[in-house]
Amino acid sequence: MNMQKEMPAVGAVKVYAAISGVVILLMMVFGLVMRMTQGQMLPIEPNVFYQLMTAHGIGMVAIAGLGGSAVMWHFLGKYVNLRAGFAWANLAFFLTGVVLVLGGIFLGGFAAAWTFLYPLPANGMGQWGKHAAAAYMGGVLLVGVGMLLFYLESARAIIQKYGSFARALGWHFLKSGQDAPPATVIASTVVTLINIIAILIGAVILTMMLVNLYVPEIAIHPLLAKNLIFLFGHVFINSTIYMAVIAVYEILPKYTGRPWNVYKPFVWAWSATCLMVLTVYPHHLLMDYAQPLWMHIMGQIVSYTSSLPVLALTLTATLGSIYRSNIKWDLTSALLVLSIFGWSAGVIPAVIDGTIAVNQVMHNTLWVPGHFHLYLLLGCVTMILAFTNWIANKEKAAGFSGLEKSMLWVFAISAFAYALMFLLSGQASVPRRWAVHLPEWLAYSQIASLFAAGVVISAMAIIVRAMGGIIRPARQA
Amino acid sequence: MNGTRKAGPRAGLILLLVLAIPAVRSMMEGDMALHMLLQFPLLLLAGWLLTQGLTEQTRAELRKWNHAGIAGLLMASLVLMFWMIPRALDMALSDSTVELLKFITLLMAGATLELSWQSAGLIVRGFFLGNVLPMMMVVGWLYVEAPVRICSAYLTDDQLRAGSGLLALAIAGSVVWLLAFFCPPIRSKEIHDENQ
Ligand code: HEM
Ligand SMILES: [Cu+2]
Repeated sequence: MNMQKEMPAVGAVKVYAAISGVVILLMMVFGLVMRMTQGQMLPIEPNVFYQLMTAHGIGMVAIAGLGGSAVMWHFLGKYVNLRAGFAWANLAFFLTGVVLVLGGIFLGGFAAAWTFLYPLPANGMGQWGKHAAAAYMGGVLLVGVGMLLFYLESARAIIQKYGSFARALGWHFLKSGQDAPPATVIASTVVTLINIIAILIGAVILTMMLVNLYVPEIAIHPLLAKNLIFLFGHVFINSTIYMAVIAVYEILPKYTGRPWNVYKPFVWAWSATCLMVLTVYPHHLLMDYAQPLWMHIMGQIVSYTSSLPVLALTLTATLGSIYRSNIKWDLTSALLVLSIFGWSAGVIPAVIDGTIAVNQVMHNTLWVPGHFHLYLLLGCVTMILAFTNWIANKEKAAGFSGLEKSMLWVFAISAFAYALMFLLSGQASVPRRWAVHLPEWLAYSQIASLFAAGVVISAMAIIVRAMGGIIRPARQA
Repeated sequence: MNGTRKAGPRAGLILLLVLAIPAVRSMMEGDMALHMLLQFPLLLLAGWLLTQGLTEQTRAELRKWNHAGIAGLLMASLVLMFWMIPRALDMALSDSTVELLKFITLLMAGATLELSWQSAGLIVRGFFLGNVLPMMMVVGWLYVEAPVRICSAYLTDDQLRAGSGLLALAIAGSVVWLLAFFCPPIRSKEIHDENQ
């Protein structure tokens, strides 16, 4: 039943991967420019800084989503019958949405950060107008419409093959111990479910804000808006990792020769994640005193448990499968293993910040970008880079040249150090989202910029090399 | 099968006639929540039931215009969207032509739902619901939050109840829809059909 079809990366997946590579690089350059501006090494005006910050935030989140979708589509397609038309339709909506978003930001001046928190988008104070905000929010909405189609097609194909989500999540296996679905199918089902919910909620709040933009008399309850936005935002960004990690489940076994077996705890962990991912977002509102107390408490408790089960099992299974396995090292396998460590390392400062007592001090400091850059850059993006490299190598293990080795080390060390500088800045109470830093903070930004440059250069080398393999028509192996 | 074919349209006709009785109409339309949350769905239902009387031949003819139910569901969602506009509600109350149009279009929306739902697969249905449900939530919120009476025919209290009702209905609808993924009513044959 779970026979795996071998097929080379299809066209849509290659295009997704290529676009992801290019956009990740571009957004990294935006990030470097921001950090250098904070270190007063570049003469960028604050309004432009905030435009870059908005573009970097939404750009990275969206491209992590697209890159993750590429991984999911590629491997899920080996088990169920996905129709390529939906991948292309998603891409068309995505690109149209991106044009609107970029227009809103760089032509319209919209700079309310990717989280478009109410009521900021409607209050540009002369920096941007209604239409710029509408272009941004309409663009995000269009990206959501495309992704809804994408996940509906995944849902259809999963149900066609496995009968229901309950079976695709492996609930029958918990009872009978028979016929476990593959790890890829379990993860894809979880992501499909939570992202359909997230997209619907995102559509509601975006439409409400669009109405409010043009009919300001109809106000939105700000706390309600914040709850909806973070429910949507947290689930969406989280699911990028849950899609990208499929690369670990599918590719690593090719290197270790040990299949990624599904055990009962694995099924439990993913099903529990479904619920926890949807209830953990109040950790973004710990400093909103009007929020009901029980939500704060839920936010703190679930923050401790939400990422742990899947991560812990993936980490131990990864270690177990590498241990004494004669794993063959090349750029792909090294990036995969690195990504698991990056993800694990990033969760530690995240959980610390999910503690109310700590959040009182760390909220809105650079500690926050510190933890999410750790698991997004060293976790999610690293998984996507590994996948890109894998399909560039025609889904085979390859050699590991000296240049690749050194680029990998530069990437790993500078990305880690870069995130660490954010964490240290946060510990020193440097606020996040400030274009202009005080003189005593400059050293942090300047040292961080150095590491950021290291990330950009090494990522460029990795991506450009992979791009060659993807674009080149498939000729000899 | 034949029994329902006859019982359906008959029940639909009776339902329609009851809904059209002036006393019933004014009772339902006197309250915004009943108007939107009871009369509308009952009209849709009447349209749905009446359509079951169509012959297989007519259906086949109609299917040519309604590939995978897309056209039908699109029309239904446009009709629903229109009658959620406060101004449209007002006009239906004050102008009997508009009221007649409301009856006809909602019946037709019920009919297109019946004609399309089976042939629409999970994706077309999902897209329809993914459109209509958030729309209902936004309109519900709008009625709840609007600082003024947005329908001149109804009081703010009415508006509040109708809005909360719409929100509740939309949330319940979303939950039911997503739960259906866990025990799909769609048989795999239909999914296969959509597949080719
Ligand atoms: C070379 C790599 C990167 C650099 C140099 C960089 C730099 C930055 C800087 C300077 C900020 C603003 C911090 C502040 O003052 O608040 C930021 C914010 C952010 N970055 Fe990155 N970043 C990089 C990679 C990434 C990646 C890979 C992702 C996600 C996949 C990401 C997602 C974000 C997000 C979501 C924000 C928050 C924006 C906001 O506060 O609205 N970044 N980044
Ligand atoms: Cu979160």
